[in-house]
Amino acid sequence: MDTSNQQRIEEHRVLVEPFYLPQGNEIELALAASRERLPLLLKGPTGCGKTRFMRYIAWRLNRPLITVSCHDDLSTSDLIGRYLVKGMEAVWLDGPLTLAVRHGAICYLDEIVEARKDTTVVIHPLADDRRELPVEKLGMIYAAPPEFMLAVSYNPGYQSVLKDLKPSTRQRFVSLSFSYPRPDLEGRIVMTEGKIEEPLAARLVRLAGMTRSLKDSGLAEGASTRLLIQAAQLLRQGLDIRSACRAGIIESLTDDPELLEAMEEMVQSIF
Amino acid sequence: MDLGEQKQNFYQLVFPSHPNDWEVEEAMELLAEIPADYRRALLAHVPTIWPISHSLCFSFLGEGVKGASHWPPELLAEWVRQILARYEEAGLRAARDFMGDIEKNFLEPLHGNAGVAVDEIRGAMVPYLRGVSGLALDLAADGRGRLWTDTRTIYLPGRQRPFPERVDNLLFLRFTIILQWACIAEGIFHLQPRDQDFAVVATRYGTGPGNGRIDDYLACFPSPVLAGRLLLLYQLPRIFGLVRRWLPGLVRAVQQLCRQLLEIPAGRCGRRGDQVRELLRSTLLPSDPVPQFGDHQLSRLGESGGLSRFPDFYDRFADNKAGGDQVLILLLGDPDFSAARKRIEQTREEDRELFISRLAGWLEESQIRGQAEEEGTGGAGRADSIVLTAKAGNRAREKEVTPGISLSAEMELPPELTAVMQRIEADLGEVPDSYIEAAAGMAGRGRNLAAGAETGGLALPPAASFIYDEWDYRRAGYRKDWCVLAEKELPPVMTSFVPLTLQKYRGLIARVRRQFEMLRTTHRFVKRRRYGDDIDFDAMVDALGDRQAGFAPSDRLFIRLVRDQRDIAALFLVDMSNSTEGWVGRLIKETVVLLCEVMEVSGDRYGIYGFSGMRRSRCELFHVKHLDEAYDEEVRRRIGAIGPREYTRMGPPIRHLTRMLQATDARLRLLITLSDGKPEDYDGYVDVYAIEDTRKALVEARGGGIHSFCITVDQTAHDYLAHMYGRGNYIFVNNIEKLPLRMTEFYRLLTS
Ligand SMILES: Nc1ncnc2c1ncn2[C@@H]1O[C@H](COP(=O)(O)OP(=O)(O)OP(=O)(O)O)[C@@H](O)[C@H]1O
Ligand SMILES: [Mg+2]
Repeated sequence: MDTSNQQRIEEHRVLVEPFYLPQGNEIELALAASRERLPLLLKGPTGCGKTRFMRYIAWRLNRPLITVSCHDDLSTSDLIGRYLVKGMEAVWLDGPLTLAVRHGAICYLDEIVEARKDTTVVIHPLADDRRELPVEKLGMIYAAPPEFMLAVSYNPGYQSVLKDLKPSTRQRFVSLSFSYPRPDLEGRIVMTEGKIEEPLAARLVRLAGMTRSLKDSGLAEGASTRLLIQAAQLLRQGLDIRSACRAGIIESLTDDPELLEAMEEMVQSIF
Repeated sequence: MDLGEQKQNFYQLVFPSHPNDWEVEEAMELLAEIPADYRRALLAHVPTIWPISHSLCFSFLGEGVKGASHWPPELLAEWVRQILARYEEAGLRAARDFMGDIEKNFLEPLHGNAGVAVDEIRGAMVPYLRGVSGLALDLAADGRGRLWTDTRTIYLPGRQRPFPERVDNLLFLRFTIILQWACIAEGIFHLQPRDQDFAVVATRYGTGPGNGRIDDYLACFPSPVLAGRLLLLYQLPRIFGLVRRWLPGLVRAVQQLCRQLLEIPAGRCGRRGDQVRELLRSTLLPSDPVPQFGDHQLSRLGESGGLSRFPDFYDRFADNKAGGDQVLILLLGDPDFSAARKRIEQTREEDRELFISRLAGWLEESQIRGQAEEEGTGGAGRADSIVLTAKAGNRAREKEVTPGISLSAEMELPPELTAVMQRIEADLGEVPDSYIEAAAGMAGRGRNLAAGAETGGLALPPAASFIYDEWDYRRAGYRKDWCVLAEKELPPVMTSFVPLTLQKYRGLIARVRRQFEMLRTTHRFVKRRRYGDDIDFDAMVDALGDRQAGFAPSDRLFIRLVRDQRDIAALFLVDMSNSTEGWVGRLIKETVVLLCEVMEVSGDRYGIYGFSGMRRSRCELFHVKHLDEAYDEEVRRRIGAIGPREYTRMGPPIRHLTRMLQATDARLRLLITLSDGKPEDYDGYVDVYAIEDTRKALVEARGGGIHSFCITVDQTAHDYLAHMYGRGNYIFVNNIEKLPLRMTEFYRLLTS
């Protein structure tokens, strides 16, 4: 059983260095937190590099990275594990969290606010100095090895009051707050990831900057780095700039006809 | 269908009223002559118009019949909307006049001519401008038809059409707006003439000594108006350079139009006109061949940044008496340097106040936090070190614009504070030390005074009154028992307001109702139930596994479809201050009508109150609908009675509704304020004081488990909003027509 788990965990190792451009001192902070065995909370708008950052950290630390995308159907068994029936035998299968704890991996719970609150409480004993995971059905309490690291992410931009992080959860973490990268950095990211020329990337970044100043005009969130890369990919496939920006960026941001028009005009004006 | 049947049909539409037989007959005779589908379309509007005015309804049918040859029936709804608006605004006669000339009053404005009016373009142009500039700029029509800016609003001429095609006019307008922004961004209005600049004009034109103000400098020239225009032309390389770098696509698109404008043969506009156009041409269209009537000196003069050569530049043009500034005015407008300077100074002063109060507030908070962390060692030493951190952050920003990452344990400046700081830095280079000292001083004072609160000493209020404390930020303490709030009844009025509004927003209501219905029926599959509609396969497998492993398997093996109990109580607080007079108040009122419509569908409990008043001794809260009161005719009449009254002291009503909500047992309690901008009252409840008290009241609400949100209707988004309401806790609506939609959308987002 352990060999199969070993195999499962190895699949999560990040073998090639992921491309990651630091925005500030977040790498040092994360490495420091890992040495002190503190859990990480990454907050920031969508598509600004949180997931990529965790992959990079996993590579730097040479630890497997197990990512769980949270949703409101996620149950504690989904995280911790369950018995399965194989032939005539009941076989225990570790959930991603247990797997990470037992093998000293990094467990990354993406969009933690999407999970129900009764699910998120299972991480509490792991996130403070106890660092242990009780698994009731096995009658075991796993102590996390020094290598184990817990990281969660959330996007504070969402407005629904029903979805917010409980203080008792939030206050267990070292928080790294991400924002969109500085224009020159973001340009390099779009250039590298989207494989386009520098001037074009710079203009995409400028467009993104303009959409990000529309918060008070009714746009919930401006264009993310991810959308820019997406538009760059469309461009690389030979689409013209207007279609690439419309399909790749603008239409994904809003349905409001006036904001759409304003942003279309921005594209026209920039390119 | 014969006439009799037709009449019967009509009587049914207007049941239970009994209109005059001959009137009906006359209308039906007219109707008989038009195609059946158009007739049906017309009659479909009768139930809406009839209850508002019977005469209007007959006129509508009479005039509508003529429309049959004019337009497709799809346009009818819009026509009806405009008729009713006209009726509500100015009465039956005005509505009849409006209907009288369909072509002129309805179709022409609807299809528009080639000109572009500010109101038509604001909706998309304002976000465009704000996005491009990153500034909270606004657009407005200028009463005297000029193009200019005071650095906060760009004023546009009314309807203007330099080109025959509408698309071209729109593009050109966009370009001129962007040029105005570029003037602001390049600091043209921030220019400060040096003493030697004043000395030059003094010797040349014999004027007095200078004072560093740009408008006074320009006033030294023989024609200050011309000097202002020419200064923009002089700086055009810088201004246009920014546009070319930032928006190359726009420049490319507009080139052809510029060429057309500048293509008038030489000599037609006088010598100055020729010179101006040549200069414009060499800057805006650098790749075009150099015109033969050139004065190459000029273009070189314009390139210098400072003002030292501006008098020379001016004199070259001023030599020529003839006009010929039209093209210049069309492009760069008629600048008003004195208005701009005053606005800049005003903004600077506002920012100073904001910065100091915000920094002080933040220092207070971090001191309190600090004390909680390290007992005993708080006090003055700590305040100093925080100020140093703030300053260090300030320095760092000069090198890096956005410090992306920060550890939460470290001091992280709140975004509202960073925003003002960035503005001050853009204006003055850096935040003056005096600002920081003032804030530190204020924070320290607040600490010492916090213990002793001032008491209002108000006489005992009458029965249905309530007394509330008020927050005084200057002393960082409450003024005890400072305000008296009275609950009052609105006199119900008979009005067509509700049916009219329902008519106006028919489409919207239908759409939003559907969305709210979905809110109500949130069906959800719940897993692992003891009984249910289906087998929960995951649970089943778990149970099998558990049994095999020797555990007692769970008997929660079913999936059940449940309808979620929302259990929400929402109170809406509506601003009834006199600043809402006019369109704003009307829209706020319409929004209330729509809210009721959709809230009824959502099934959530809700109540509505208006507020106004004058002075702390007379804050008034008007009952429109209590939390569990039915939405009936009485309520509708009270909605009709909502109207502008006196001032906007927001603290007391917020505290009062908070208390009301706390008395309910709903799982989610919402307090939603609908207002038109700044809180304000007669007795010094203004600016920072009012903002801070409102903020405090909202913080108290939050502390009491109430989620509070605000919707603000205003021209521009002031950044005190984020500070007062808290980031993400408000929306701002400037395109007022969108208020009802944004508001309902907002409620849906909040609670789903
Ligand atoms: N600093 C960075 N260095 C390199 N690539 C980056 C960086 N920031 C963003 N990216 C690029 O942006 C894309 C989106 O980032 P990522 O998927 O990490 O976003 P996220 O913050 O996890 O978003 P979400 O909250 O939506 O999950 C990445 O695939 C990567 O290409
Ligand atoms: Mg992600």
